[in-house]
Amino acid sequence: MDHASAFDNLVRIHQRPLVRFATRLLTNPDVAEDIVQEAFFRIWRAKPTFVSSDSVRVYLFRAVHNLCRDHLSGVRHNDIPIERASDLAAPRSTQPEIRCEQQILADAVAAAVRTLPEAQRAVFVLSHYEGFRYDEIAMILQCPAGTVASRKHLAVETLRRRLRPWISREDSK
Amino acid sequence: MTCNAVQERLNAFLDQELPRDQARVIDAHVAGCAACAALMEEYAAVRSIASAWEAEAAPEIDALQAIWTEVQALREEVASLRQELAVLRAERPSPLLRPYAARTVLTRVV
Repeated sequence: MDHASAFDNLVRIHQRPLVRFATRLLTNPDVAEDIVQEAFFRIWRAKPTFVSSDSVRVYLFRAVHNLCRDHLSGVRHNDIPIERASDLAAPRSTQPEIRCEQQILADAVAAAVRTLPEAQRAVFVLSHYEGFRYDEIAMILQCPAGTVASRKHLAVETLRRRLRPWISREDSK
Repeated sequence: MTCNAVQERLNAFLDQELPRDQARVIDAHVAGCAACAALMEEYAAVRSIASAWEAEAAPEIDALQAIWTEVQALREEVASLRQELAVLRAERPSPLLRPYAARTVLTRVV
């Protein structure tokens, strides 16, 4: 397979999870798309060689995470449009009242996750939503696996406090 | 293992990231400790709730098209730079004439 076809495949397979990941980190889907495109463009130019499909995935998420972090370090917190938190939403019910409740919950979760410190947010999103193992997250974020475990714990503990009203409802079901 | 130590590991336990011996210790502790068991249930509930924010679908983007457009633009830029370079090279005096050019400049300076 030539470089162009291999690259086509890479984009087709990974672009959606990467945009989803970047949108969860950054809130703004337009910026997330730009960042994913930039990451792919840099990869196209660098022509890296991969030993396995797992390493491709880790490499791509690392590239996108680095660009997201650069973006976040240059963006004031006030610039983040929180009202767009529902751009990624739960599968919706067709019944209006259930749909409304699901939407409120999705927004509450999105707001809670997005107020986590960046390092914890990245770990939580990669682990919970993208299904990476701790050792893979350690490679993406370039930190020890022990740090991943403690960040995940801190993130879930913070979410537990922020989402307490919803947890009570979950327990009473 | 103390309750604190267990509680710090509960999320790794739920993620099945603990070594088997540690997981067994946590399992046994939680079976006999109401406080840690309650906390583990809450952590499990957080995970379940967090899934409400599952992505319905990432926005449909055509990254490929955008990248190919950018690649094309870069190729055109490179081609145009190569052309400019060729023109500059053509205008530059031959290396054989360079010592004469340098001498002329020196004569002018002196």
